[in-house]
Amino acid sequence: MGPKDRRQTLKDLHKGRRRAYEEVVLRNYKAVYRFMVYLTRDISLAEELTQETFTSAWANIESFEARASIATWLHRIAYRKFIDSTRCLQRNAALIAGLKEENNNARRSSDPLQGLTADEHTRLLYEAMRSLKQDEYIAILLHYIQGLSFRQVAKVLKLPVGTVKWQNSRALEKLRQYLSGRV
Amino acid sequence: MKQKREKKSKRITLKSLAAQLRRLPEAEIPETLKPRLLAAIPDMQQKHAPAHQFRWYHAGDLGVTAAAVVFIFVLIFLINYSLYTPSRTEIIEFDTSLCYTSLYQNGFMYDQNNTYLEKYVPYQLK
Repeated sequence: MGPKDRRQTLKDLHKGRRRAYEEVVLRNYKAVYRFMVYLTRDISLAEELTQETFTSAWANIESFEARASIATWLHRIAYRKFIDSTRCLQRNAALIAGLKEENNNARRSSDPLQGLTADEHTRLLYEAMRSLKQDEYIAILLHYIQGLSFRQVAKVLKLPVGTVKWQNSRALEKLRQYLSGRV
Repeated sequence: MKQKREKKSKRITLKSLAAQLRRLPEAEIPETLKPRLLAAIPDMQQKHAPAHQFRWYHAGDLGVTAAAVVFIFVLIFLINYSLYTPSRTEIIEFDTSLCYTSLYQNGFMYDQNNTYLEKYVPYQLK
C-alpha cells in the first residue's frame, strides 16, 4: 500500500466509510486475534477481546491520525483491552478462585496454542516463554511473533525504544538459559 | 580464543532462538470470527459528521481564547476610564466643602458676626 492509498484510506476512515474500515478489519483481524490468543490463552476471551478491539477502534476512528501504522494503533487498543480485562478478572478474584479448577480443565481442553506443543522443541520454547515476566513476554510476543519493529512495540507499550530493546534482549537471554538446561 | 568461540556460539544461539520464535506456528483462526467482526461494525456515517465539526472548532480554540483575552482587557480599560473622571470630580468637590467648613469653623476667613453663612453650614460639619 503506497502513501497515496494510505492517505485515501485515512480520509475514508475519517469520513466514517464502513467499506474502508472493513478492509482494515480484514487486513488486521488475524494478527490481533493471534496477539490476544497469546495473551489470554483462551479462545472465547481472545475472540471477545478481538471484537471489542475492532468495535472500540471504529468508535474512536477520528482519533487515529496516522502517526503510527494502523496495525500499531490496533495493537495498542488490543493491549489496553487485555489490561482492562485482566484488571476486571483480578477484581473478581474471589469468584474466579471458586471456578479455578473448572477453568483450568476447560483451558487445557480449549488451549488454542495446543498446536504449538505438538513438537517437543516448540513445546519447550512455549514453556520457556510462559516462564518470562509479563513485560518481557509481551515484548517478545510483539516483536518476534507479531512482527512489529522495536519502534512500533514501543508505541504499543508506551515505553522508550531503548527499554523495549533491553526487555527483548533480556527475555531472549532468559529463554536461551531456560532451553540450554533442558535441550 | 575460547571466549571468542563461546561468544560466537552464544550469538548464534540467540539468533536461532529469535528465528524459532518467528517460526512459531500460528494459532488457528475460528471461521466464525471474520463474519462476526464484520457484522459487529455499526454504520457510523452520521456519528462522524459532528466529530469533524468539533475538530474544526477545536483548531480555532487559540484564536477564540486570544479574542476573549483582548476583549476582557478592553473592557477593563473602558470601565477604568469611565469611572475615573467623575470620581475625581467628586473628591475635588468634597475637598472644597471640607476646606470651606473647616476654614469657617476656625474663623480665619469669615466674619464671626455674619450669621447668614452659619445658617447654611450642616450640623455635622460644625
